[in-house]
Amino acid sequence: MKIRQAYTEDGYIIIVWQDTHLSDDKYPYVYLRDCCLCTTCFNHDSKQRMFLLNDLDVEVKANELQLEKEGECVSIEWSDGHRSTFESDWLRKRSFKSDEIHKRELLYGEEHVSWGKEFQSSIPTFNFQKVMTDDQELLDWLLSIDKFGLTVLTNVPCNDQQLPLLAGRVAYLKKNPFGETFTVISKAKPTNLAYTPVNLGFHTDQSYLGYPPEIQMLQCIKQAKVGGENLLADSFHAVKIIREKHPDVFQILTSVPIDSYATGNEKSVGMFHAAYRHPVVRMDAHDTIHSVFLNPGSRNVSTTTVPLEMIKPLYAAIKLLNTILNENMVKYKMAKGDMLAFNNNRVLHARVSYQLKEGEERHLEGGYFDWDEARSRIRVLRETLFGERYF
Amino acid sequence: MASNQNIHIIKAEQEDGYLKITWTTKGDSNDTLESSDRYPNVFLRDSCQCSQCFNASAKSRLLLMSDLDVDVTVNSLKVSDDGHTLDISWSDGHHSQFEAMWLKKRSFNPDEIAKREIYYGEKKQLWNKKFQDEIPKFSFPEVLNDKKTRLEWLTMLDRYGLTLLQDVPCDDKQLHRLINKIAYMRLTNYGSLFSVVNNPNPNNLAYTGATLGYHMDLPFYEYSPQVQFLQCVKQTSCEGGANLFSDAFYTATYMRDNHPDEYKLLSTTPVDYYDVGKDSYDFHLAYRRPIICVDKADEIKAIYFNQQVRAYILNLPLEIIQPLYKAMKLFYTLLDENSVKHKMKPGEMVVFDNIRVKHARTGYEMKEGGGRHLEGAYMDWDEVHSHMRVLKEHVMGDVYYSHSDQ
Repeated sequence: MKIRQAYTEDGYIIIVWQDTHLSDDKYPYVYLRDCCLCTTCFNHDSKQRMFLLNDLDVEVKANELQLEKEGECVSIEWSDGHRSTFESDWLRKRSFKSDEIHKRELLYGEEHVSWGKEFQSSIPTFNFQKVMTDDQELLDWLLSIDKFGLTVLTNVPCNDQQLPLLAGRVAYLKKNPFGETFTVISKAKPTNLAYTPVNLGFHTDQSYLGYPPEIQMLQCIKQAKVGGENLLADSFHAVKIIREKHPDVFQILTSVPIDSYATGNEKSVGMFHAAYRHPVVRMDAHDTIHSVFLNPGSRNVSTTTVPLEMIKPLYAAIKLLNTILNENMVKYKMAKGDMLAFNNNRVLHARVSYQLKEGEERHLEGGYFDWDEARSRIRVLRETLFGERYF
Repeated sequence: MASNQNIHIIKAEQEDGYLKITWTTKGDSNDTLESSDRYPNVFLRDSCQCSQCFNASAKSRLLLMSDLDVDVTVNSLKVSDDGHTLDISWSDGHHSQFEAMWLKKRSFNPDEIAKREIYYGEKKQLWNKKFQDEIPKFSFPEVLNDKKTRLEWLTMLDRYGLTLLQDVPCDDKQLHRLINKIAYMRLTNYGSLFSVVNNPNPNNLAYTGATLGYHMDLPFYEYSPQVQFLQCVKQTSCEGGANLFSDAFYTATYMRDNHPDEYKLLSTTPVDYYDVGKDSYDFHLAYRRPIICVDKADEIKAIYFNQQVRAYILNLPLEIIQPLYKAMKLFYTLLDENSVKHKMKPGEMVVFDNIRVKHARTGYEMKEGGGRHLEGAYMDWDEVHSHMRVLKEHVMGDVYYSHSDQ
């Protein structure tokens, strides 16, 4: 991508490309001065900016431009006495045209595809062994979690060594008050409802944290003969319906924080008393749904900070969400060797109660990792597999 | 606080979907005060503590949302003779019993609600350069071994965002000792413990002698680590190597009041941050959001500011670029005007709120024998606040009661 001509105009450097199909690109002076890549301004080992904001003249001007290497780079003499050289490809990749910017925004995540009960027959399913050994499969799996929020892995060896291995393919397991992994088995003195055989309504895990774990893995080592199905629903789908048909409810779900808490004494952390309050729905900067937090089990009525008149509307809002989730769910009874991997802040999960006969056991292993690490892995894989590089 | 003995329910009645309770409470000076409180029916039904609705061992609600009638009403009410207990027969056929004390503690009176805010953290006290002589200092051995001191230290950390620990043994075991007392280290792409020493092939500018402008660590994480620990093991005998700290909440508040246009820009324009390299694993982390993060109530919650890892690619409209740089430069200048300075000695450790207090470092030369070595680690507020609540219950008897506590 060679440069035909470079000139200055109104605080911008205008690049005219040799390819006449490509329209001109404009770069603000201050941006290019700030992004100088010489060894004084940029550390090539760490790929970090050494140039201090203190030393940046925000009114800096480009005094002279010079094309070099037949248009492969352009040199700039700045009004502060410095000199920068930029390669044409580097400039091209950083175009400020709005359609180019829009393409780059996909870097930050896949577009979500929401679903209802029709998803029952098309839940993305992956072979665990393949995900463990094949990078393309690993990438496809992670992209599916981003896009759909729910995946199934099969052929998982039936022992408790697998979650650290799978998380290790991404980065590492995320620690939380219950440790790095948690075992879901019926317990005599349960510290969490998951450790009992009762029905669990739709919920997201650990909404009592400000940084709730984002991707959950639930591995089945032993399954009950009767009951124990997992119900899963796409809250993004439900919230979209609510936004359209009940805007007042949407307003409540996006603005009234729900007090949640959890206390206990666990090996990983000793005594703990986690507490946080999130509105049920968190929107992102693009007005799309970022996360949903809902854990009725841990809803705190002792340190409620919701004003009196908002209480009933809040309950009505949660109830409506719950109803729509129930109408749009899929059901999956894991067999031993199966694993569910899903966006914990999007796909709400519920569990049908189960009964165990003498000698029977139901045993799941659970663990988490976050989007920061998952998206980092996606970018690294895209670079390794396809040579795609963004920064 | 009054005990159950001092609260008497005089009357309980239904009023527009609320349960209205009129009661007398006996104060400390033995005088009796009559007041009333209202509770939404659905709230009380949801909070039923019977073994069907609440699992006492897990301290978790059993009652399913699917089974909750949000329009539930009361069929009958009965106040016990001693005025301490209220029995409710609900329209859905269920029965609940509540102690007067339990109800009083969960009053919806706005003053009572306001008192509960502390449960979620200290109110932030903003500071400027006058804070230089007021930086909270604590003895490391005392913080480690005495719960009361540790609670005081963490309270100061929450409130001011900057603390100094002294008499820290100069080895790399101390951060583990301290952080394990609280909870556990926050893992990042730089591992759980990182050594700030010079590295010939650094994957981070911190591992050089370069001057570092005001910044927070790791803004390219959505979940940026929130509390930073920096222990001085060895300090350079040369010029430089001092740390500067500035309360960015103070600066952002000042900017909001005095430079509203720049404030608006910084609180609405998403800036891209990135980190590419290899440390504990191969990483390519990236995130974008405004530098100043406010919540729905317009309260400043976090400042994501870092020049070293601001991306070399900005996904913003052209005309915003120069105003953005001007606003960032202004912000930087204001941060610097209100900073405090401290050149750590071996045996000292700064612990600060990474999301709020920006830190900078004066550059130093890597001379023979003039090495500088800091040990660093992170935690998140979830774990620190959790530990503070546990300490409060131990030290102050402050019971953050669950459903069934009296």
